[in-house]
Amino acid sequence: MSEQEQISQLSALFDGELPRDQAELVIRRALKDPALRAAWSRYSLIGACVRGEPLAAALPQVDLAARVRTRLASEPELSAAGKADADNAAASANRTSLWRRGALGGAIAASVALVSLVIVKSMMPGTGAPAELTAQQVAPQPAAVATVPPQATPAPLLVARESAPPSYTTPVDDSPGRRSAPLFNYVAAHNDVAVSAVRLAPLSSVMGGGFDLTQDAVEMSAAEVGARR
Amino acid sequence: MAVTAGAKMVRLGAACLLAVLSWPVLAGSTDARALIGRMNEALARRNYDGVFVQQIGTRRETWRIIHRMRDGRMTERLISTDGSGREFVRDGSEAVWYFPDRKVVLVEQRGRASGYITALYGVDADTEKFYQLRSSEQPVRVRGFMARLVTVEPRDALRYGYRYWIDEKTSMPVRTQLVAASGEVIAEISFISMALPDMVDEDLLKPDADTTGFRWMRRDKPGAPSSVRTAFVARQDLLPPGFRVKSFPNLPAAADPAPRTRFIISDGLAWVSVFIEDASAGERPGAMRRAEGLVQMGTTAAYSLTAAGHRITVVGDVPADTVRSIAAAIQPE
Repeated sequence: MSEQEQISQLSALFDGELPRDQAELVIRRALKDPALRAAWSRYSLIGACVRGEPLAAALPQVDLAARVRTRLASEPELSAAGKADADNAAASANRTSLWRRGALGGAIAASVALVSLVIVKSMMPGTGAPAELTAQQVAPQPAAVATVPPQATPAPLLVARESAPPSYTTPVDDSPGRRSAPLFNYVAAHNDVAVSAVRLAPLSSVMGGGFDLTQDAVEMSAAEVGARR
Repeated sequence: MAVTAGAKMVRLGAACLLAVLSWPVLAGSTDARALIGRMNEALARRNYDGVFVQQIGTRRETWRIIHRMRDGRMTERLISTDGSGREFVRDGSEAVWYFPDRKVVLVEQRGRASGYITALYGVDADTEKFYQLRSSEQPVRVRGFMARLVTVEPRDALRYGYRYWIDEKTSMPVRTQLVAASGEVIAEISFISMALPDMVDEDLLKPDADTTGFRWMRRDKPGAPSSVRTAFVARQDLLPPGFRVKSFPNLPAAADPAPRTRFIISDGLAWVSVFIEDASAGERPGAMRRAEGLVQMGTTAAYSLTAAGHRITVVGDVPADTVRSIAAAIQPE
């Protein structure tokens, strides 16, 4: 399978259009192949932009800009494909291949444009702090992340149907200035004895860079490290 | 005119019928409890290897998880797909974090090892005093899985609800949601793919990161109980309805005649920890850090106050009002 076909499959996976058996194959391949992993990250970024997620929280602005530049520099052929498609100048005997390549290039060009908009907007005077900037400000808000106005009285839980887009919310944090206080020790100790039905917050916060676990950590001795290897 | 009105009625009726038909019919609690029981059993015994999307609020991340149960010992590896190469490996009581982007490895000692995708223990007949359990009579399609939907709906705003889409064939939860009383989703784990191998290759549980040149750090088990000067109790009459102090034999303070430094409080599904510390004690490495007022960390709320010279901190996956109420119920004996 060519690289283009692999990436097309990855795209279909992210769109939820790939059958499950194929999805598993693609995921396994992607996790082994650095190029596909990079494409995976790119699609995650595109998805984050489209869904209006807080990009600055997930990815520092500097990194974002650097990643865009790196991507542009490292994939001239893809950018060229996108341009060719946009100009409608290239003709090829293999129209399917061209369409795929063009669509992919167009998607990447669109993502770069979208990301650029986010960066430019964050630099404009009068805009919010970078940490508060979301792609939502430059992209139409999809139904999947639309929030429902809070109700005065608790309503019965949604009896979800598969086609109904869920409404997502985040519990209000009325202490943003205290986020730096490492709460993680309490949460870790809590999770050691308590039973959590959905255990995702601590890991996500730590892995996402929200909390610095090394703050209370001590350097291991060379002997300790050696014993582990 | 009459025809137009009639046509409107027909269209409205058809729309209502379509809406009703497109919603899964939910059955009673007995079936829901049976489904949850099978899911708990599957989570306790199965090996699995899958990719899931996790969403908290509007933040969305994709992870691969490889989970192995062998001779009662859990080993689990989580791999971030954001390009950072970050990984988390849990083996028994040891947790190791790999941060290739920072060239750091962090080793931690933990207590329980119940895994990242956790079961819903504690569901029994009493659960229905505070939650309504229902399940879909017919399976629904979720990302290619055919699953039964189980809803655990809170009867008040003091606790969150849960939704589980439980795979018909394997009883594994292919989608899990934590839900506010308003019906809004607070957090979700949804699998894109899931394999259930009989055996998990040891190599799959090893991190990809080449740790040459990395700093290795160690974090000792957090939350070592500090001494307290005053005995505190959890006043049952002040606790939110349904919440009670639970006995945990593995808590160091449980069998200790000295004043309690820790309480576990639960309504059977929602679990809350209470930490009591001497407010005058200085901070030391590995000690608990103080959090003033309310802090929200993802799905977890923490509330801290000072009473009788002691710091009381309440932590749990419950609404902010509930941690505040529980903190107020902790009083000097």
